[in-house]
Amino acid sequence: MYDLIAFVIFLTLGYVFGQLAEKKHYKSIREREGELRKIIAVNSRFPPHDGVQRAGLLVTGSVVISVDYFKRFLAGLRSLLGGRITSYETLLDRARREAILRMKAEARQLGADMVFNMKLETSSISKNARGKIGSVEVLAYGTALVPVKP
Amino acid sequence: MKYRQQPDIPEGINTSHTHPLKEFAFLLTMGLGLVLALSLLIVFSIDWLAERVPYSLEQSMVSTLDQKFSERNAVDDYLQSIADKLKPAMGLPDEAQIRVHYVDDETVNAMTTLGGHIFVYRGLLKKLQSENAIAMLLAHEMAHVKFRHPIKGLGKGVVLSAVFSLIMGQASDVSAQVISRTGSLTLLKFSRDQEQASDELALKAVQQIYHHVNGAEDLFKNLQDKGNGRAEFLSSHPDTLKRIAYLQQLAKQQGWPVEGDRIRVPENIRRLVF
Amino acid sequence: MLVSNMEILPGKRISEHLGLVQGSTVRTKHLGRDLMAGLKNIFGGELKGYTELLQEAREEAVNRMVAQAEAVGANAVLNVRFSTSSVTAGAAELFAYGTAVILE
Repeated sequence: MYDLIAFVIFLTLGYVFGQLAEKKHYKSIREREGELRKIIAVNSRFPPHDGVQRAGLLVTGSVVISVDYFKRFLAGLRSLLGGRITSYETLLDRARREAILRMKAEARQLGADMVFNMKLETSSISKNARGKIGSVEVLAYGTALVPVKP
Repeated sequence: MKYRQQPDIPEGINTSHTHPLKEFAFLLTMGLGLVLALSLLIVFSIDWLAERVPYSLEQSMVSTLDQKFSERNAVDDYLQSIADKLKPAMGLPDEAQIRVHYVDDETVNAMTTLGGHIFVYRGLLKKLQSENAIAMLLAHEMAHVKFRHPIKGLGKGVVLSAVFSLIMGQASDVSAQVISRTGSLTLLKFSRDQEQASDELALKAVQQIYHHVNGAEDLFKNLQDKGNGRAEFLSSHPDTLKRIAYLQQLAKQQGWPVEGDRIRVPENIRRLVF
Repeated sequence: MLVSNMEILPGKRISEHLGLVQGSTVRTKHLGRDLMAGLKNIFGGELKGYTELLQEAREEAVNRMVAQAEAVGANAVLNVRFSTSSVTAGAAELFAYGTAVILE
């Protein structure tokens, strides 16, 4: 009986705080995406021929985000019934955008205006004994091109 | 070739719009419905199969019990004699053997296992003041044998735990808990129904042998103070007060006399038990 | 919408680069399929249910990536890369990304 009550409490806490954290994170992502828009990130390998001399430097951005109790419960149920696990979609979307933003922020610090050959890696870490996900790690990396004054 | 600042990408392309609570309600109903349907299917098919297992096969599964409990004392024989007296009234088929064993232990319990072996603990026996109450207890356990509850329980336990562990391999920890809980609550409901059916048959048999049902309730009155305070839907037996009320109502309905002489437990048995 | 994993298309000129676009989805099959796959694991061979799952997921990821490319006004996505990861047991997470461009 008590663990049933604990379960409901965890579920409610997970829902309330998870939703709040997600809203806050999305707001911050959108703001920073606006700020960093002028840094162009593409996954083409060849630098532009625009007559500007550029030096290449590796930049990375990574983030580990965990899903809340409520969403993990939803995902567990969903895996019985099949279909799209909507509760993990926002997790992955947030993680990727955050990783790209961190990579771009690093590029801006170096004075770069472009990131080329950008790649994204996703891995799920902190799996527990039964092989279920606790959180997801996304790594974004690429070559920042820093204009060099002649 | 130009490199342009990326225009704003609208939100919601890589995420879905369903509200999490709506999704939650949908998944919970479907998930629990699925588990419930699955458990019911398993329960009914196991019951169907169990009724078709011959008693002889059940007995041979636990043949070691006969050797293990071959030493018998006066209490064993006394209990056995009551069981033998009740047997014709229970409607048990001839091939169903009943073996009653007395366990010298303070536990307040009695149980029935495969092959018609009934175990009565001293802890419970010393609370029962008359032969009538002991008969009610034995009749209740014999009703389990008649309804094939031990083998049904075994089958259900094995199959359901196999199926649920398969499901749990797929689900996350949290949902696995919910699933196993739904499954076990369903099983408990069946267990309570089984207890009630056994109570009913037992009372009928006691009435047939002793021509009154006085003393039968003693069994439950003694269980009452042992109550564990758990909510009924979480326990394997019905609420004791409800059991007494149900039996009183049944006796009234059938016009069974509730007054009558109680038979005292013989002195040599009392000395051994009390 | 042209989707290719080449960076330069023969005979086409890229007039504008519009940055990275991405599409992703997480999908799972229902329990019955999971159990069948578990049985199939004993004998080996193709797990049709999971092939289907990944195929569907990949299509959806590409569709979402294309939707992003359309939103930024591109007419092609070049240098497309796929990545698969398993975020939870029995589920597939498909991710597709590429550079949105306008071809002349």
